[in-house]
Formats: sequence, C-alpha cells, structure tokens
Amino acid sequence: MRYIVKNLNINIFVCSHINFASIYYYSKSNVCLVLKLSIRVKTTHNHYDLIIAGAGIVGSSVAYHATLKGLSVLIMDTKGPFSGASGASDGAVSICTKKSGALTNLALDALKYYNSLSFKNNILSKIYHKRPSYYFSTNDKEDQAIDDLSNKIKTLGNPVSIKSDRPGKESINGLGDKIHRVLEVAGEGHILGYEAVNTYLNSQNIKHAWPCRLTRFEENSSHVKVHTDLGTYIADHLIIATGVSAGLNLPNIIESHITPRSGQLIITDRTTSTSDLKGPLTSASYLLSKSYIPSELSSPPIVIDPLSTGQFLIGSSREDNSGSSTTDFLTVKRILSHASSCFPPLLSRQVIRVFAGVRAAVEDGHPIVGPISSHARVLLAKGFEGDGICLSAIIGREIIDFIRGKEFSKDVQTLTPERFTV
Amino acid sequence: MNPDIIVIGAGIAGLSAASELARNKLSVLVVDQAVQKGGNFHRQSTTGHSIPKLKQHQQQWSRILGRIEQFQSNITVQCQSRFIGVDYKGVVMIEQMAPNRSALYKPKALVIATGASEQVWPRNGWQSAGVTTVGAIQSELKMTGQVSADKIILAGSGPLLLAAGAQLIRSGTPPVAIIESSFPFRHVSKSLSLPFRYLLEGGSYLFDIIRSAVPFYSGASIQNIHRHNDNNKLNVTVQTKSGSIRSFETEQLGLHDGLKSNDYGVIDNPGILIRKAGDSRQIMGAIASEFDGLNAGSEIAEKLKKSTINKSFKNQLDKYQKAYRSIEQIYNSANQDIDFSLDDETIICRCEHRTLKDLKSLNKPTLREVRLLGRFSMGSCQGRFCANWVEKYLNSETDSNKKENESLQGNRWPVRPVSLSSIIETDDFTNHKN
Amino acid sequence: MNNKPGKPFFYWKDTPLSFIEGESIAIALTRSGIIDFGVAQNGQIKSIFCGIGQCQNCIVLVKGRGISEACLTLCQQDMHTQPISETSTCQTGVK
Repeated sequence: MRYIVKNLNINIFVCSHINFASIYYYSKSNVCLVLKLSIRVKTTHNHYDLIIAGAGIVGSSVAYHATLKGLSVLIMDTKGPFSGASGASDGAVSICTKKSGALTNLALDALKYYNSLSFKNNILSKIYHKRPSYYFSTNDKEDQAIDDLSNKIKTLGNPVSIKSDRPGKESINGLGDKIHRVLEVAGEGHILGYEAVNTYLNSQNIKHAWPCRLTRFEENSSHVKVHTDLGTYIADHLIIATGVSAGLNLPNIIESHITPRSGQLIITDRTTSTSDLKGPLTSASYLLSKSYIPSELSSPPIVIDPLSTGQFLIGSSREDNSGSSTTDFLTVKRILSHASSCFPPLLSRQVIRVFAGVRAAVEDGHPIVGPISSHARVLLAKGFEGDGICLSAIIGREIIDFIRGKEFSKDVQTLTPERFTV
Repeated sequence: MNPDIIVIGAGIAGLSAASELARNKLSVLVVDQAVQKGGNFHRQSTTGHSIPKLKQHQQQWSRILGRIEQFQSNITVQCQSRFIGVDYKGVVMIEQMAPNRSALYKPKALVIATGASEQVWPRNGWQSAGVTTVGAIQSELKMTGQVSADKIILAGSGPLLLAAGAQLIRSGTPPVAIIESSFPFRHVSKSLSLPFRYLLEGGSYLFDIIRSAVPFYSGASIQNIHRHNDNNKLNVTVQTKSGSIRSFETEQLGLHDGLKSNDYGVIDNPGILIRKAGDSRQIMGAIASEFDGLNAGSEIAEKLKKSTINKSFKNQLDKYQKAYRSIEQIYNSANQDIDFSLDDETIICRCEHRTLKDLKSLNKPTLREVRLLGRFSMGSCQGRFCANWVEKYLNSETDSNKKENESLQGNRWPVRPVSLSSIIETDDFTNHKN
Repeated sequence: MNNKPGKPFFYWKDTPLSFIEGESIAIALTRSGIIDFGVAQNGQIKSIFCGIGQCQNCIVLVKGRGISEACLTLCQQDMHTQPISETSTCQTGVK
C-alpha cells in the first residue's frame, strides 16, 4: 500500500515472516513501514504465534514469557492446568539436589531468576519463598555426600551459601539421634507448582483450551498445523511440554527415552505449635539417589518439608512403573519410619493424604529441550523429573528467546533432543 | 493371622455377609470403628438405656446375631477398629484404637459395608456449634436413651426426619418443629403401594408426631442459622411454603438432606476382590441391606469356593430395593432443587473453612483447580460433606452437560486421617497364609 | 455437673466433669453444657456434627491416645481431654 501524506511517501508492507515491526527511512520524503501481520492485522481465530501443549509448570512458564514479548499464545491440555506432576509435587527450588554439570549451572541461574521474579511486587513475589534448606547424613557414606555438597556450594557462590555445618545434636530442635550432621544452606526456595501455574496463566492474556486432546502436528517452512479434537490450529511454533503424556506424533526415538517415574508423597495435618523446622530437611541419600539406583542406598531418600500451612509434606519414593499414580502401604510405611526417626515430632501428626506424582524421567537424567524438526518450529520441553519446578522459569525464558532468534545457552544446548538421534 | 475375608462394618450388611461367608467355611474378620456391633441402624446402648425399638427391628437384629453365633468359629468381630484403606497391591490396613495396634492384611476378598453418610447441604451458619446431623441425634438416643438438649429442631428432607421425630417424642423430648423441604404427603397413592412393613413403621412415626402436636412444615427451608454469643441457643430462620418467614429459638438443630453411600476411598484397581454391600453399595434401607449382605457373602463364596449361590437372597433383595425406591419417590429425592443462592460468606467446605465466595472466585475451574486452588474437599473429612454439593454447584454453573469422570474427592487411602505412628508400627500379616 | 464424690469423672482442659458409664466424650461434654470443643487453626469450630465418626468435626486430644473423635471415644475415669488447638501434656505421641 502506498499513502501520500503531505510530501511524505509512506510505503506499507505487511509481512508474516518477521519477528518485529520496523520503520525504515529511505530519505526525508520516503518512509517504508514494515508491519508484522499478526500485530497489524487481527489474528484469525486459529492462528497463533505460539501453541503450547501441556499446561503444567513448564508449559505455563513458556506461555508467560511468550506474552511478555507480545506473542499470541494458545495453551492446551487434555485435562486442565497442573493436572500431572505439577499438581502432585513438593515445590522445592534447589541447587543442591541437582547432578553436577549443566543441571547445576541451570539451577544456579534458576535460583537467581526466581529471586528477580519474586523481588518486591514482581509476578512471583507472593508465592515464591526463600528459606533455609537442611541436608543431613546418617552414616559415613552420606557424610561423604555432605562433604561433596559443601565443597560444591563453596565453589558455586551467590546466591547459595553455607550457614552452618553442625553435628545433628547441635542443630535443629527435636532432631533424631541417628542424624550425624546437618548442613544448613541459605539461598534456596520453595514455590507450589499449582500456584506458579495459576499465577503465570492469569497474569496476561493467555488463551487456553481444555479439555483438549492434541493428536498430530504437521510442520512446514512457514508454520505448524496442530490437529486436536476441538479443531485444527495454526501457529508459528509449537512447544510440547506434556510431561508423561504421550499421544502426539513425536518421533519414537525420542519418546522411547522418556519413562514415567512416580514418587509417593505424604501430607500430614497441621501442627498446632510452630515447628522448629524452618525449611526442608533432605537426607543425603536423596542426593545420592540421583546417581545410584535406589536399592544400593542404605537408607531411603527422604525429604521432610514444612509447608506454610503448618502441614508436613514427606517424600518420596522413586519408582519405575507404568506411570500409575498409585500408592502402597509398605512403601509409605518405609518412608515414614525413616522420616520419623530422623525427625520424631512427626510422630504426633496424622496422615490425611497420600498420593503419587508421576514425573517424566529421561534415562541420562537430563531433560530434553530443543527443536525436534527440520524447520525448528516444533520444540520439546519434557523429561524434567523432579527438577521441573526449579528449572521452569529459565527454560520458559530461553525457549521464547530461541524462537525469537537467539541461541540457547550452552547449558541448555546440552539438553538437545539431537543427543538421541545423532 | 491373615483372614480369608475382611468385612468393614459390623452393621446389618456386614454381619449378614460375614455369617454367609463363615457358613461356607471362610475365615472372616469383621471390623467396626464403633464400640459395639450394630452399625447405624441397630446401634446398641452403651449406657444400659436406650429408646424402645419396633418389634420388627428387634427381630431383624436377633436374626442377624443368631447367624453370627451359629458360625462364630469362623468369625472374629473387632470393634474400635478403623479401616484405613486398601492399596493397589491388595493390602488392607486396619487401625485398632484400644488397645492401639494396627495391622496390614492381604485377604482374598474385602467387603465394604460401611453404610451411608448423611447428605447435608450447606446453609448460612451451619458450621455453628449446636448444629448436627439428624443421625447424630438418633445415635445419641440409641446409645443413651435420651438427648442432652431440651429443644431440638429437625430440618431437611427424608423419612429420617419422621423416624427421628418419633424417637425424640418417645424419649421425652419432642422436637420443637420438623422442617421438611418437600411435600411427602401429596403422594398418597404411592405411599399405599409400599410394603406393609414400611407402612406400619411410617404410620407409627406419623401417629406419634400428630398425637404430640409437633409442628410439621412441608415445603419449608432454613434461611439462616445464628448462634447467640452469650448462651448456647441457636436462632433459626425458616421460610415456609407460603413464603413467610418464621423464627425459632432452639438448642440443637439436626440437619438431614438425604443419604448417600459411604464408599469413599475404594480405589479403581485395588488388586483384590472387593464387594460393597448394603447402603454403602447403594442406599437401600435396613431390610434390603440384610439380603444384600447375605447375597454378597454368597457371591464371594461362589467365586472363592465354587459353592452354589443362594438365589433367594437376590430375590428378596430386589423386592425390598424396589420398595425403598418408592420411598425415595415420595420424597422426590432425585429431583430436589438444591438452593445455591446462599450468602457468599456461607461455609461450604467445613474442614478447610472455604466459603461460597472462595468457590465463586474460581473461573470455570477443573476439579483439580477446585481442590488445589480452592482447597475444597482437601481437609480431614475428605470431601464427605462438601464434595457432592460443590460438584452439583459447578454443574449448575456450566452450560455443558459434560461431566468429568473423576469426582472431586478422588478415591484413595487413607479413607480417614490415620496417625503416623500407627502406620509405622503396623504389624505386617500380608505374608501369612490365609 | 462438676466432680461429685462416687461418680466417675474425666477432665476437659483440666476441669473435672462427671460422666455416665457408657457415654462418649462428645455426649458427656454436651451434657455438661460444653458444645464448643475449641477452634481449629483454620477457623473451624470443633463440635459434634455427624456423631458417628465420619466428619472429623469433633476431634479432640486425648492423653495417651492422641487425636480422637469425641463421638467414638467412650469416657474413662481420669481421662484427660482438651481441644486440639491447644498444646500441653496431651500433645504427645500415641504410646
């Protein structure tokens, strides 16, 4: 189109394949306006910049970051928000529990980012809580793990630091006799998965569709077509953040590396007195369990998390099963026996709820993040097993940066799906 | 130590199932959380005093006890013991309260005969002390022969209001009023088609109520309940069928809006044969429950021991289930309109203190959002007294008829809160031979 | 209502109350004029509601037993009971 206003030629070009609108000045009397189709022209009902499959913690973080950059988003889920692991989890945001390497680096960035997202009146300020974390040992092998953790924290630095490293008896009030040693770490935090998802999804104009089952996607050089039981949608990009859910036509070579792994969790009633425990109590065997298979561990990995309601969340098992969210008495008995011998005040509590969160695990212990198609319009963000809440904020930000033309950070690059196909 | 069958509930259906199973030479452990056998309907006195019972009820109880006695070598009844749940491996946990001992079992089959839960819809102020279910009043009458309160109002809908009203009269404390929201006396022809036993029973209740001139309001409902700060009295505001407002002062208010099966917690794939019997399978009344229990025992014995099923049980069951449905039709229970126009401040989830305002603030929520964000049905009663109403409210708000397969409560153990120490110290009999 | 010689009694918040053999804690308290069993942390007023151990509305602390339904627990001589919201000697494990 060409308009002539006074002595100025204005040429207007409308284009869909650019990321930003631009104004070009050729000369004093000629202006070229290049407008992005989706901003200038009203988006058609089923064409979005971004479609996200999966309204869990990762998907909703991607959605939030997308709208920060003015992208139009449609997020879909077969059931609803946080219907998978994100709604059946603890919510500890921790660096200490991560494997060394890329995951630790990412967790460090994640902690810093959570601090900024929760600063003053920022979006997560009401729901992300910083608190001390306590890591404890009950035998020599676990003592070694605490030593390793202590050294790791010293090298990592800000925002984590060691507040104290004491024998169990001199540490928290009420701790059991079998505790050798307690390492108090400052700088970690907690956020409830469902509160985070809800906050992200309500913060901006994010369109959602649930219940909605995605069946198939087709990609070409200009867009992705997403077929669902509610109709067909078109987007510039598709993000698949579906956790353990299958159902989409993902390449089998990738799908086969993701297995469901469930963890049984216990919720107690409220204590009437303020607990002496100000943050989660995590056993060193939980740290070791990331590297060893459960049967090699001398004591079951446990976390005792004092929730802000006054209830305790106690976890967890790590079971490779067919992904059922079932719980059994003997496993829970084992977890609670160990937990209460570590922290005897639990004995006066009642158990009101037992459930299992089913997380998507990858055999090499690293999530899968990155494009899975030749045109790089379809990205995967799955397999976070237990680290989803921690990493979701930065992964969301990185994915949006990527689809806007930036490269993934070095650490995220190691999570590429190509590591299975090459 | 590992019984063939565990029966939860030592009431009509549970004991009937147990005797039939024992007759077929299966070892049975019956557990009940109460102090004695009897369940709800045949709750026994604990103080030595009780209210007079109808002859047909006494006969039923004697009959049931007789069967238990006959096969007692195969039956153990353990009272003050709670069913904590069954897991997907077929393991059953029973927590014994006095003396404190818990155990894990792996029986061949599990019978759930936990009876009914009263359905009580939320009303403005229903969380006040002094507001109970009608069943709580009956329970007190049966255990002690009297009630502590001098003034009691019964409100809601259902034949239980008549039964409890008559029982109160007979114990010497006639209710101040009975507030019934439906119009049960309009269905005269339906009433006359009921089996004679029901007519006799219902008739005797009505006779006492009329004779004692207890005010009975049909088509009336409670608008507000308010407890005075300075005394233990309740002020109850009622809207009568003509629309006028009446105010009552009372000590205790018993609410009852129907019965539903108390079957929470039985998971979908329990890894064990499970059979519900009696009201916990389907609300069916005392007479049908006896046959349902016998039938359940017979069916399980057939499965496990290839014995012949006694078909007469099923025939009697069908007959009395049909009769009970007539009663439900008289009270029009299925089509009762629930009043959703409560004050925003009305407490909906009693355990977690969640109000109607909290529920309204959720935007077209999924059931998971109602639980996790709304905190409804997340407390100690596990949704027994709010889930049903909340689900109906949400359905009334949405245009679509689509209902989620899940219920708000979910279904899993523990079916009730259980002390952590009980779980830890539990004896494990799962590996013992049956 | 209060401690009478010869009659069995139990304690509610350290106050002796008489009971009739066979009464539950819930009924004995009600007969003594106590229908309010304390306020829970989330604001719920503890009192008798269903009377048969399903609603968890009447839970109290019983020394030696922990958290128990008042409607399911029979009174015993010298039994110590109190609201769950208060801490004291009753706040111990079951054993």
